[in-house]
Amino acid sequence: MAEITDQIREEVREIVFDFFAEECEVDSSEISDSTHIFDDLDGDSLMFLELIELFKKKYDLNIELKAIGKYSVKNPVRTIGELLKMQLLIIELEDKITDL
Amino acid sequence: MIYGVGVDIENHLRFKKYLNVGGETDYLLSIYSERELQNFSQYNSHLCFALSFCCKESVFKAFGQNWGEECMWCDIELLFNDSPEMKQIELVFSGRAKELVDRDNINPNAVIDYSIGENNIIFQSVLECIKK
Repeated sequence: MAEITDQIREEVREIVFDFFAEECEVDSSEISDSTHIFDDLDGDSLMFLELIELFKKKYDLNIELKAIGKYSVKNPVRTIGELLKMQLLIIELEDKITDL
Repeated sequence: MIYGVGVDIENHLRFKKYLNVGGETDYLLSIYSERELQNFSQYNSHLCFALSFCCKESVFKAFGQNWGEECMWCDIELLFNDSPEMKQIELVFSGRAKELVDRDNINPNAVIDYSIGENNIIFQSVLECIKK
């Protein structure tokens, strides 16, 4: 588990924006917190999984997909802003995210 | 009686990178079972990865659920008895998916089919209830 610093917050933002810009072939300047991942970017669950894997490696996270799945059933992620919030919670709480 | 119908579309070209992951199988094992990875290795085709993922997504939809709600990716397996183009496939429910199938009296022999296009694949699953 990691304390969320401004640096981590900025890193996560940059990774998420770059990831979707590359995967969805859009300019990252066209992405904002309110961008809808599925409707605006044509994103999908595979991108979601790959992004989680990327963060697991970068921050050496101990979290199972099942825990993320359970969290996202209760807190659906539709926009980039919601995704950023969830990624920061995963970094901060890891498996304990299901306690929320 | 129809229990649920699910359809999923994926760009299969995105799965090409999964063919050469080397020892980095942890991520793949979060989506595919060891049995699936062993099965796919016989065909050396990215379509195995793409079709299996697409199948899992379509079955989740037929269950009327999101992944993680009850079952996970590895609980739904797609095995190939021939190269992916030949459509000799077998859908296997295990773990929580099997429990769900048993609980809701779903016919485990689901009606499944797929089409492969230049870039995309489409997979459809129809789950039926067994009459008591």
